[in-house]
Amino acid sequence: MEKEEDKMNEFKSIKASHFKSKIGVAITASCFLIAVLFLIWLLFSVFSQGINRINLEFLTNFPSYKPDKAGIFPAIVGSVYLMLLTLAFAIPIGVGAAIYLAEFAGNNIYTNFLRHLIQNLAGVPSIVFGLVGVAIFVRFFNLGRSLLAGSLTLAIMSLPTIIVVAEESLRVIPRQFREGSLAIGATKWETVRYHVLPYAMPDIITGIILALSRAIGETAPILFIGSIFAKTPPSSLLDGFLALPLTIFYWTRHPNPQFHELASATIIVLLMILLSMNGVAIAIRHRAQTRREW
Amino acid sequence: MKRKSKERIISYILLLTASMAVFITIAILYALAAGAFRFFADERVSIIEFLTGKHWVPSGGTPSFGVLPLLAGTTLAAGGALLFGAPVGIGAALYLAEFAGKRVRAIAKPILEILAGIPSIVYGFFALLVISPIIREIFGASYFNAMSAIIVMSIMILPIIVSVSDDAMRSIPKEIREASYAMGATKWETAVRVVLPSASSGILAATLLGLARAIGETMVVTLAAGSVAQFTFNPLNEIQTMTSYIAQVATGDIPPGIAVDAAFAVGLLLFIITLTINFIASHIVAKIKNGGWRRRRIR
Amino acid sequence: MKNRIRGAFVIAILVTGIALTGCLVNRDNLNLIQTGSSTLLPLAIAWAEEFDKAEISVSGGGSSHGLNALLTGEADLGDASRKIKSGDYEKVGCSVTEDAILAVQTGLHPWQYPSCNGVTPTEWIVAYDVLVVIINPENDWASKLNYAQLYKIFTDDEPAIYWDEVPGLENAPHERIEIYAPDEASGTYDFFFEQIIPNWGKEGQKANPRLEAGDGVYHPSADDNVILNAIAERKYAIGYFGYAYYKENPEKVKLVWIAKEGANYIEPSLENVDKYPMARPLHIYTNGIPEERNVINEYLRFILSEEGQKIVFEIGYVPLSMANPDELQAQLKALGVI
Repeated sequence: MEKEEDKMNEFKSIKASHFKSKIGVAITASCFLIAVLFLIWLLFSVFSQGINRINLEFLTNFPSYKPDKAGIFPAIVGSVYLMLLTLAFAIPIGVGAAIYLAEFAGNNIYTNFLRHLIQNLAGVPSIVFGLVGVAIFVRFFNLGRSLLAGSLTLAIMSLPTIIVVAEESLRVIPRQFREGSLAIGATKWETVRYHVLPYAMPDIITGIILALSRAIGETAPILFIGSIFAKTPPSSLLDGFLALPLTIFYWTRHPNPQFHELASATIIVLLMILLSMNGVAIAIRHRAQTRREW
Repeated sequence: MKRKSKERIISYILLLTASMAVFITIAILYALAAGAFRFFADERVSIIEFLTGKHWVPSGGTPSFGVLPLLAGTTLAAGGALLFGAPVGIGAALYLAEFAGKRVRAIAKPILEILAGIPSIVYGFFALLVISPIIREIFGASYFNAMSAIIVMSIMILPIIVSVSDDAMRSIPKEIREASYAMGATKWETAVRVVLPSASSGILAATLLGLARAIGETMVVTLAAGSVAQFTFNPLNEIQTMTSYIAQVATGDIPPGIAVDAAFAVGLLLFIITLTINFIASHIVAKIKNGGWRRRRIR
Repeated sequence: MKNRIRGAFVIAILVTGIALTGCLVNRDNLNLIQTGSSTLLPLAIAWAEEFDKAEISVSGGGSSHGLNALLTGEADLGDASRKIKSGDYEKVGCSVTEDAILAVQTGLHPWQYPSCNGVTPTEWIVAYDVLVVIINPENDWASKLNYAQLYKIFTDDEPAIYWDEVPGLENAPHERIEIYAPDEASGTYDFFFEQIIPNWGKEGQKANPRLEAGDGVYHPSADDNVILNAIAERKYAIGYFGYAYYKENPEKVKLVWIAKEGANYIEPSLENVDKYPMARPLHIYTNGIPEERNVINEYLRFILSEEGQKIVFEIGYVPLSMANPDELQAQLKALGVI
């Protein structure tokens, strides 16, 4: 008699715990679902508000005070220039630093200190870089509120990410690549340059593109440096500049609700640019993976 | 001979580029410290009042620089974001690591990457123009309110919490789970009673990284949470965080002089706080990557 | 193959870099820098857009910032919604007394102030700003207020807590007053309290703004959007800001007719600017009176021209021709137009 009862209870509790399990899975699945739904909601609202404003005039005009005439051409060009200049500064230094840390550095105190430093720099809030940019580049180096100052600020902000990604890409290359080259008498640099770097390049480029996509969307570092209004794009390194995230910022805060629609149209343009950059990065990574010889 | 000296020159150049990290750090410290020094050197300012005062009134006839309202604002915004974001993030990570099928995991990665890749200004736009009106409608909050920023920021920090927690959970070997199943535990019980505790230090690190990210966030709070520095923990109120004060100095009508220097002092404080949190978190992450879990005894 | 791609990439960057560097042109006369008051910012942006003889770089930062930039030579034009003070001189290392400044402020514009660091701040009036007091559309008891009543509501000198405590409004609802208005960094704040508090900013200032009473009645904000929406949504709220902002959203709030001591209640509008008590001049400061060939002279002429002043009206400020035609004539004469 008792055994039957015990068996019943055991059966019930097993059923109960399986039921609990299903509930648990459902709860955690819905956590994931929350993120997905939020993303869809966000993209949908931005697109529905802004899509009507996108036309050729919008992409070729300057940001007029009249909403029907306002466009983002100087902002697009400004963002592109910022990006190119940031690349020009950050790539040589970032890749160079990564090569040093991955290939040349010994395991000493200074190297470990550098690595820690770089890790910590990656976590500094972007607005702090804005303060640093204005104190060092705008005032101390007297570059004024210029394209040069803005891109230097973005470059030092992107540097830690680029170094970390590039170093990782170099480390992944198997030792044999280096050993073969050194065995026939090549120097360290020659080995890196001809036998390691080319194979790490796709990953490095992917990482650079990703670091850059963060930089192009950042508002805080250039908040102190960019301009509010310009009719034409910058024509020299020392000119003021507009940028897409800044334009979004000012139009979002504008009292006239028509500018809110313009802001969402600008967001669409920015997201499209980011999408294509990431698409290129994924394509490069994919192509490299299929060609990978190890 | 030429090759050798060329090699040495190149290695010095490379050392120099790596040392840029040092130069940058020095630049950051110099910029913040110089401004903060100028700020504290002014006779109207005292460090004690700065750290303990409850009134932040940077302009006008009798300015007052107590940073507590800004700290309260940052705590409310970041803390609130963590309060919502951490459970959801850990839950989602648990789902992806333990329960989800291959297909779900395959689309989860790109979705999280997209969430992480959306610029914060876009989140700020959404917070002010979509979320905030809803909060105002339902709760009668003020035009600028902390709640709208909190909701949006909790989603913003999801990718980092999910990915680090997920890594932590995945690094637990299969055998541990299998032992648990062998004893008759369900998937859920295994996940909650075995995986979660073992991965707890990794999850803690994930939470800290999410917190640091929320503390350093500028655009969402600047656009949606407001610019009135008041010492409050009511999310329906307008607040000003440390980051949005600095942003206000960049874009608003702050007169040159002491109020601008105050931004550097606030920036220095912000830098120290985020550095500390990131430092602790990265230490924990390093431990995991080196197989640190083994040192934890599984009860 | 990969090397060649990389090489091409690097060359592309270098070429772009050189192309940009090659155009390193110094700031010449055809590029002007204008900065300062955020009240003037919408005007400055519109003028800069419509003026095609120079590229004008416009930014905000506040009246103090604008005057500072002019005195340090950083800017060609400094926008200010207030007049220059000795404090502005002190910040750049010059010493000029308030009396010296007051001595300049006679007669018609342009007014030339004492020089500093080689810069002679010259004050022009380019428009007037009408400051309006606003209430919720359902508020029908406070549609006309005089300075004494404003004093009772907006200062900490035995302030009224309920609407029916305000003298003259005994029939108002017994509900708490809420204020949504600019914060103390704003020039509008400064101007408003200068109007209703005797001896504002001087010894013997009679009272302090309600904000300083600490009773939570005055909700300050740097953003006019906040003020507008708060008052639009709250039946018992009152506030103030510039007319230009009201113009963007006229259905959301109601304007209050104001009477100064001993005068009639005047409806706030651009047309009434000469009778309405709360109108303030908006200024641009330049370095001396620019000569006729100078592009700054042409820019000022444009601003004071019919076209430039039409923009003023469109944006919601008061053109000089409406507010003070004598000043308009005097300034045009100084520029060599008449």
